[in-house]
Amino acid sequence: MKKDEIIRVLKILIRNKLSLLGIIIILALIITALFAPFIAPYPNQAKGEPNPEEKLQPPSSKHWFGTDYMGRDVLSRVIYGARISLLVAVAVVTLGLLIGVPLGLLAGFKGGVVDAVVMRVTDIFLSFPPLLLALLISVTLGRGLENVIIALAVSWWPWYTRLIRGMAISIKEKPYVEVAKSMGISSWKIIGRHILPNAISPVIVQGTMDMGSAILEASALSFLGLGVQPPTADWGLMVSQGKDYLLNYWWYPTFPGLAIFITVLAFNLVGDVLREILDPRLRRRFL
Amino acid sequence: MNVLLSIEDLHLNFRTFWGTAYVLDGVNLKIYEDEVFGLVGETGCGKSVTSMSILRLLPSNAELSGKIIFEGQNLLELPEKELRKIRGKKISIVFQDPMSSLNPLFKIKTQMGDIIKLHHNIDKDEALKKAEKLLRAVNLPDPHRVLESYPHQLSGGMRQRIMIAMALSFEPSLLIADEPTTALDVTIQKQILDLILELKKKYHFSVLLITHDLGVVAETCDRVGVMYAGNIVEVADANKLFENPLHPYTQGLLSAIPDPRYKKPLKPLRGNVPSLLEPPPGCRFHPRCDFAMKICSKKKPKLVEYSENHTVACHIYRRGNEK
Repeated sequence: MKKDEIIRVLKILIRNKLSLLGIIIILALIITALFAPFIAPYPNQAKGEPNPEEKLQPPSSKHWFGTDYMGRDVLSRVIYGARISLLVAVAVVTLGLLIGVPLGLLAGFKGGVVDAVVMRVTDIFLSFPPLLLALLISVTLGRGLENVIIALAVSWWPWYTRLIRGMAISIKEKPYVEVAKSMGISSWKIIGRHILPNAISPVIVQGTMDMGSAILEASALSFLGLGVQPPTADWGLMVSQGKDYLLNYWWYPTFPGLAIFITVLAFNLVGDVLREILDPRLRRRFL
Repeated sequence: MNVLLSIEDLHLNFRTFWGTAYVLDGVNLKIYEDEVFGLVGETGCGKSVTSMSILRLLPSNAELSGKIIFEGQNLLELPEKELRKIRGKKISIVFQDPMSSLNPLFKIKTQMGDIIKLHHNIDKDEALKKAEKLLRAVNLPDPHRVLESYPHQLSGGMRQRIMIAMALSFEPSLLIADEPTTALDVTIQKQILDLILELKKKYHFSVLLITHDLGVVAETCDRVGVMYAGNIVEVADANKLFENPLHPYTQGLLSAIPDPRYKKPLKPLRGNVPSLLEPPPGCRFHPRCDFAMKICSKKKPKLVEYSENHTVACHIYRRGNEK
């Protein structure tokens, strides 16, 4: 995409109320994550320092979101959790794109055997229920944040491959690709100059929305005990630990759960509007 | 005159779901230096595919055999890497549809720059200067503004001029124009054809003009080849072909042109174009031919010289064997 086109897309995103809301939430999250030590009221507790005197306190002016079973401030831990969640979102989607997009371009452009092999491999990956595959991989690799990211990225890339392969197949038939070939331009240059830029829009949309899903799935893995290990503050882990306290101490799992919900929602809002802008048939209503 | 490109016994089959389509059935063709050769025929007769075969721009299910000799090399045996040096540089193509021949995402200067830099090995500023010069050569006013435009900001005629400019970046010795005016309206058609002729005079390249418009042929071509169902049935100087068409198919084509001077009814060719999956044996035209003889369904006629610069592939003109 060209610079002025990106600026135009951003303008529309900001003018649209829903996507503006999404953008504000995402920006707020990024700021929160970056400045967590300054924003969190009890940074030490967020890092895991127990505070037994105040365990399971309801929300109050001292602890806005209450405290957990070790007396740690839930608000501080939710703020620190944003770091992990955003890291997971960006890392998983970026890795997925880095694996998926080149493979999809290659398969779509080359066709034939290359296409068949790449597509059968994606079929194998897609035949697993997504969370199950990620679960299997992270069990194999062992616990920990990096392994969760790797596990999710590995179960994620086939979607991008599929998407971009389909686009590549339709774009390689365009006359301007034919012209480029007739001018003696090499395949790699054609892929870089003509196929990729014209095929990337739906992938951008999918990637944006997937940031939310990645957070959700990483939380699910944490919930199952495979992700980030305590005492690190992670939303999924907090929901998992808090579920036993839900009936008597509702605030403990509820606030991290809300954080997940709002974050996923924000990414989806932006992704939705982005899809409509980048799809030429839906774009008109924004102009 | 020297032969620039010679196509010898070119066969092209497409493997398809329904069987093998025998698209080109032994095409023989010579293009001389500094001439405009017109290739005419109806839709699906193999005109475009012949031109695409020259640069091997065919889908992967195509099977090519025969010879295409250009500058002493057989293009069909050339490795892809060598062929890329000929594409665009020595032989370039102008396509039918200027509206989608440019990538909608990039400015003209980027796209022209890409191609100029490709073979010329020069930096960006020089490439832009060269692009501006080329645009001026194809009579585009205000080349600077054109270079800064996106394709959708330009008209079809302007875009086709840009395509011609791009095709001429390296002063090729053969320009293949694959129905370059079909997508344009009549006045622009005339301008584009005039432009090609004017540039030809200036740069001395040969033109292979592919069209189904006999009017265009009469106006622009030196020599004409008539194609029918994957065969070249007649080759002649343009004026000879119009004055004295020999092949029954050529005669049929010419009598199907409305002539405003006489109010005679048009005489359409009877029957349909044969399926290329099961082409008729012998002469592929015989089921539709009014003069068909016994031999026509058995033996494929060869191109024979009828008079000077006038060859025809039809059994009627075999000497001493009139029955």
